[in-house]
Parts: sequence; structure tokens; C-alpha cells
Amino acid sequence: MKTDTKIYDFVIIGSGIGGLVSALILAKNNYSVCVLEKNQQLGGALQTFSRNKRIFDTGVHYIGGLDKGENLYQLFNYLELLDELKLKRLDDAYDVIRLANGKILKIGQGYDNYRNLLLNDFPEEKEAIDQFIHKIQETCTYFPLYNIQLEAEKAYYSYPEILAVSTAEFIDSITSNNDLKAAFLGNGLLYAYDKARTPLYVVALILNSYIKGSYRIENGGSQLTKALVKKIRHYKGDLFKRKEVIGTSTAADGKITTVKCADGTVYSAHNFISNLHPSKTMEVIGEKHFMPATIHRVGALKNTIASFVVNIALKEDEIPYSNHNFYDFFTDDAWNTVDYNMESWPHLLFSCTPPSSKSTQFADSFSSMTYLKVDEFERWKSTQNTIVHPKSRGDEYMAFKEFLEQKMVSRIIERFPELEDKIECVYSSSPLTFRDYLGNKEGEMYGIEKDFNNPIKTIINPKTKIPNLYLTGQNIIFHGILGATIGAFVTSFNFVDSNRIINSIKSL
Amino acid sequence: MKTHYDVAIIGAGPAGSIAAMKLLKEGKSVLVLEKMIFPRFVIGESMLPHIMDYLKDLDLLDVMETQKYQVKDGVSFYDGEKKCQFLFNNQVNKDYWKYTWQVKRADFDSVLIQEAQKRGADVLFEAAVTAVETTEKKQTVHFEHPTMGNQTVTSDFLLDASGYGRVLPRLKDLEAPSSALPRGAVFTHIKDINRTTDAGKNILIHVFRDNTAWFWSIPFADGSCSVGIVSDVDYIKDCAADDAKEFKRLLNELPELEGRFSNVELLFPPKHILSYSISVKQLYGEGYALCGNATEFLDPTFSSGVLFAVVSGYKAAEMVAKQLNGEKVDWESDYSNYMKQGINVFRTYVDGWYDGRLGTIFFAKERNEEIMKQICSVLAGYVWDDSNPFVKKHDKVVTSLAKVIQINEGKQVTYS
Repeated sequence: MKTDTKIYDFVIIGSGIGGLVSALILAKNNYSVCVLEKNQQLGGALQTFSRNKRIFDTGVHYIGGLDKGENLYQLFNYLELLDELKLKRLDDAYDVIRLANGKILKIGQGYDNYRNLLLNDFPEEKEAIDQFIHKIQETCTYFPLYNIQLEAEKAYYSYPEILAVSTAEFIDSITSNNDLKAAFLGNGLLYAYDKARTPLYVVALILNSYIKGSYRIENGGSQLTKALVKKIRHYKGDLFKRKEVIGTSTAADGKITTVKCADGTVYSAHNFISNLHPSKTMEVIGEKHFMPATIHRVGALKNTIASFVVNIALKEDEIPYSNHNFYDFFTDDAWNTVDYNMESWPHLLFSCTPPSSKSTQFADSFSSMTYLKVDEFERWKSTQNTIVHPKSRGDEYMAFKEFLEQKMVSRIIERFPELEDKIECVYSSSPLTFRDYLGNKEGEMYGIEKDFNNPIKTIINPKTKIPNLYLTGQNIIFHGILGATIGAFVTSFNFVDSNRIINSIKSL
Repeated sequence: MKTHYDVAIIGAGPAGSIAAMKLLKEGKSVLVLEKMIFPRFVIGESMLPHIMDYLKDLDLLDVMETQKYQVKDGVSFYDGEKKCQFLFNNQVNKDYWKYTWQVKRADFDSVLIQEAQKRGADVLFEAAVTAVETTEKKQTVHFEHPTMGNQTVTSDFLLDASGYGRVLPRLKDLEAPSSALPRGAVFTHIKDINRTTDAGKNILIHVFRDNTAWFWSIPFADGSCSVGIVSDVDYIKDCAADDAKEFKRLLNELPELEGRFSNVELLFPPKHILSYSISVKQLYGEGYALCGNATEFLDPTFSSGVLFAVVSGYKAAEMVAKQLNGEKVDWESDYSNYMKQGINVFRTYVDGWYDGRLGTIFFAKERNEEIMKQICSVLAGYVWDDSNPFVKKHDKVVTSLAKVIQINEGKQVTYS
């Protein structure tokens, strides 16, 4: 049995954005780090795959907060990633929302654009639009780290009432215009908005970040992985692929001493950070180390809905590249998307043409995503299929997937008729595909669902009951590239002086 | 957050927020560090009328009245068929408060701390105190915060109102075993669809299992009701096992409850706590003091928890303000002994509750009205009123009264 005798300061389990950024922050601050990834490819939801010589993204289609001086820009600047990334700023109208009633609404980046485009579409709703914008901006001030501060005049941790504001209730209080509501919620697929649960702060933090600079990563999310890996290596960090952690050894004081991988290798460290879903973390570390009540409590938390993604390889030089995204509604009620019924599924499509390295003018692929409950795949939940562990889920699964694929494609053609005879081939990813590659719990898009009815329930502390085990990733603070990056800083604040780090980010 | 405050308070429950508001009233700057995010669930939902005196003093009654909490104007005890009701309009002093409220503590505690914020307290939730250095003049508090990272703040004085968190008792090794037997509780909230006007008002207490267990029901204004059982640790463990199977069975079948809680909807899966009676070696030290449940958590039979939180928070703040103003204060007599006096009165009643003396008095065939008034004032929280013999000589009076009743009822005297 091969054993790495080095004792790292940190072993990080999982190489999603949270794991990689944690590794980089710690490595940059002179800790020795080692990242263990179970897959063939690093990056978690940043992974890309290629089919027919096209590169497809698994999770990340556009990123917000990247205009100069904005939050993610500042964090990436500290992480020395900006020079490594080829970013393409989306159109001023970065999202286009097409309602079931035929109305086309444009969502702008930059608050002036955002406001003016909405006023164009809803001239009679000036008051509601301004109220909405004001509320979104005000809500964002409650989250100091989001604004690269440690404190705020009114921070959520002094005024937690902000976590309990319902999105639906607020929007209903300012307008009764359903089309305007759809415009406010139009890119809700960025969080799987749910009328009964989604807090307003979730909408505010997401929308504001996209208004403050929406970009695509050229050649896909794996560019970001490459940049992070390069910097981690620059700071002498190690990264290992195909290392699936399956267990741990602990000392008498309860601390973890080593993690053991499926291939028999063992890694030692003073501290461990898990980038996995908290439930998966407990499973991997060993449930006997946790209180049954904790396992039960975390296990009972509701995860956000899963997704079904169709990737289409297009015939060359036929379809122009769109430098914005499309949200197509097939229901009159913008809220009625998570709770779909199978007859009319899908109720909502997110679509985009990923930028191609071959041509700036034409798109060589087309991606479309919608919500899909993992329960639809109940019969196949016990199957596993990844490149490292390839195993067919069976013919019936393939048939069901194809059925969904066809439903999706016919919806796509409804709204993008120009694609009809330009499709070379279609690939799809089911909630199980996401689950197996991302190591999340049930293919959920955005981790544990935030709930304004009970904000405290979904707050996950990066510290665990195991004295040297910490959590990072989308579940501890917020999801998305920005959320998980901030989360990685938060995890790192257990080891590096938060005041110093924030000051050095701001002084750049 | 400033780097220095007159007073740092650990814990944003009633003891912390009352202390904060009293200190603000005395012109002091206050930082409250709270480990959780509010609102958060906690038990201790039935209050005592004496609390109202403190809420009035701090101008909190108007704010609280707007919350439309369930008014509580009495308490009823049941032993099988036997019932003993105390109504707070029937006390030894006509100036004593005749009502208080039953509150969901998640709401009540949030309203209090938000009011403290409005009055100028800085409050940080999710701030877990990890270390303190206390001296005569300067206190240093280190805390961890999930998004602020590790931070340090200083103050002239440090008040620990951390309750079950027991921050200073742990950090300063002040913990002491409680004289009370280890007990526990299992509880939930239910949809109180079968409540009658009468039963839907006040807290009801039903004794069962040969006086070794009791059941509470505390109705709330929104139509829900807190229900729970207190007993020895082993029995509570049994009640809580298997997703609280036995507790749920008792809710359905305990004859004393007459079906009020049969097949009602549980608003959350039952929770339980064990061995909650704990004590400390000292209530104060150089530069710091403990208040609320951080001092001692007594058995919940008589709903005294919030009262002691409020009184100790207020008293401690009063002492701190004087001390910071350069006045001489005697923490031993004016704080420690004062609090212990009140706690000891209730301890007698808690002991008497479990050893049967109180049951003998409550469920006597003939009850003396004047005596019941005096006891009622104790149960209303007026446990510092030495003109009430059931306060002044609490232990002796309870024992001798129970004996007299037993003799009168022709029973063998069992209380020594």
C-alpha cells in the first residue's frame, strides 16, 4: 500500500470551486495544502466535457460580479486569477426573458441599463421598479463580505430579520403586474426560486451580482479550474485526481489524522476541509464520529431541485453566437416552475450558446437547462456511472432520458425554430449524472435550500464537531461561483486573520 | 462594532437584553454577543406576573402589548380528578400584577433584543465567545464569527447571560453540581384544535406516574400550544426514544388530558433536553458577573426561568452601572444573596412539588383562602416580599402546613 508520508497542514476533500479557492487562500498564506478529487477531472461544477469536438460546461454558464472593482473581481484579483482568465462580457441586455404570452423582456447589466430596460417594457410601473431596485440594493448592504467588508452599518448578523423576508410577499406588495413579476424573477433558475421558501436576500445577492458585471468564461468553466490549479501549484500546493476519500483515522483527542482513499493511499494532515455536501461529508468521514441528531438534522434539510441539461452540437457556421442568455417560460406564473407536472414539463428553459474558440461569430453548440426532480429517477438511484467508475444504468434509464431529451428539444425548437435542421447531435445530463460527478446528495443544483420561514435551520457553520474538520462549498454561505468563493474565504478565516485578508484585498 | 464598550454582554436572551436596556438607560454603551441567529427556539414559554414590574420600569409594556401575546392570569395544577387553580387577581398585595403572557420564546426574545438594538445596543449574532481575560478594570473577549473571522473586543465590565451556553462557567471553571436531582424534559408544539376557552388560556400542569412526572400545556395566542413532560432522566429518555413514540402515545392516551391532545398535528418533531439543573460556584468576580440561566437553571415547574433571567439581568446591570460610575457596590449582598434568596424560595417549592408537600397543600380537601393568596403571590414571582410568610419562612411554612393538612385529613404524617 502506497502511503504519502508527508503531513500537510491541510487536506481538502473535493476540488469544486470552494475546495480550490480554500486551497489557494491557504497556500498563498504559507500553509501546505493537498486537494483530493475523486473524479478524472478537477473542478466540481466547473468541469467541462467534450463531445464531437465541442466543449460543454456542466454547471457554469455565466458569472456575475466581475466588472472592475466589483466583489468577485476583487476576490479573483486577490487570488491572482484575473490575468489567467479569458472573460467575455455579455451584452448590456445580458438576459432575455420570453414569457408564455409572447412578451419579450430584457434584463440589463449596470443598474442604469437594468432600470431603463424595465421602464421600456413597463413604463407604467416606474414606482414598483424603483422600489424593487432600492430593496435589492439595500438588502445587499446587509452582507458585509459580499461587499468585501467584515462589518456593515446594518449587517445580517446584527439584524437577522433580513433573512426572514419572503421574496413573493415583497414582490406582491409592490406590484400586481404578473409580467413585471416575471421580469423580477425571470432569471430565477440561477437559484431555483420557490414561492413558499425563497428569501428576498437570495434574489438580491444573485441579481445584484449579475447586474454588476455578467461574463462568460471563454472555453468553459474549466478555464477557471486551470487558473486556480496553476496558482495552487505556484504556491506549492498538491492536487491529486482519482482519489476518492472513503474513510478516516482519528486520534484519541477526536482529531482526524489521516484520510484513506479508495485506491488504498492515505493522506495525513493537521486539518481537513471538506468541499462535499455536509451529509456526504459525514458519510465519508464516518457517521460514527457525529451525533445521530446532527446526521438526522442535516439529512432532513431540503436540497434545491435538480436539473436536466441538454447539450446540442450544432452544424458549423450556421447559428450565430448570442452574447446573452435566454429564459423561456411556458407557464403564465413565473413561480410555477419548480413544481411542474410531467405532462407540461419543462415549464422553463435556460438556454445559451457557449462561446467557441473557433469562431466569434458562430456558435458550435447550444446548451439548455431546466428543473427536474431527482425523484423521477427513483428506480435508478442506486446506480453509479462516471468515467472513473463507468457502469451503465440500463436500457430503461436510457429510454427515459431520451424521452426527456425529446421533450426538451421540442420545447427548444418552439422558441428557437432556427435550430431545427442545424442539430448535429444531442447529449443530456440527468440529476444522477450531476450527482455522480459532483458528489452532491441528489443532483441538487444549489445545495441546501434557503428558507425565509426558518433561516436558522439552513445555516451551516464551517466548523464541525470534529476539532480539525471544516466545511466549505456552496452549502456553508451561498452557492454559485461568487457564493462558494466567499464561502472559501469564510472557511479560511478559521486559520488566517480575516482583518488582514480583507485589508489586503481592498488595498489591491 | 466598536473596539471598546462600557459593557460586553454574552447572550441575547431575556437576561442579556434586559441587562442591555437597563445599562443603556443608565447611559452605558453595550455590545451583545450571541452565538445563535435569532429567532431561535427555546423552552420556558410561560412567564410570571412579577416580570411585568421590570418590563414597565424599562418602558417595554407598550412594545410587548402590540405583540398580542396570550394573556396568562393564572395557573392550574391537576392530580387526577383533583384540581387546584391559582388566579393572579387573588394575591396578598393589590398592587401585584394580575397577569402576564405566554410567549413563543423565539418571538419574545427577538422582540426584546430588537428593542435593545433600537435603543442603541450593538448586537452581533453568530458570535461564539472562545476566551476571556478579566481584570478589575479591563475585560477582553475573543470570539469566533463565521463571516467576521476571529475578533477581539474589550469592555470595562463583562456580563455573562449565556444561559445553557454557560460561557464563563466553562471558561472560568465556575461550574458546580446542582443540588436538584437530574431531570429532563420532552416537548413539542401542537395545533391546539380541541382547546376550550378556559383550557386555551392558562398553563395547565398535570401530575402523573405517582408524582414522578408532570405534563404541561401552555397555549399560545396563535392557536398552537406548547406541550411537554418533565421527569427523571431515564423516563424522559424512554419518552424520547424512537422518534418520541412514548411521548406521542401519552399525548394521545394520558387519561388526565381527556383527549385534548389526541390526534393533533405536531408542529415539529418532539425535542428533549436532559439534566438541566446546573449551578455555579460564584455569581460574580473581578470585572464580571453572571446572570440568567448562566447562574442556575431551576426546575421549570413554576415557570420561574424567565423571571430569574429578567431580575438578574436587571439587577446585575444596575450594579454594573453604579460600579462604573465610581460608586461602591457590594456584589455579595446586593446581587448574589439577593438572587439566591429568590432562587431558594422557588427551590423549596420545587422540592415540595416532587416530595409531595405541595401536592398535599394544593389538593387539600379544605383550602384556606388567605394561605392560597400567599402561595399565589409566590407563584406570581413575588419571592422577595418578606411580608409574605410563604416567602420569608418558605421551607418551614410549606412543611408544617403540609403536616397539618395531613393530620386534619387523617393521614399518616410523612414529611420530616
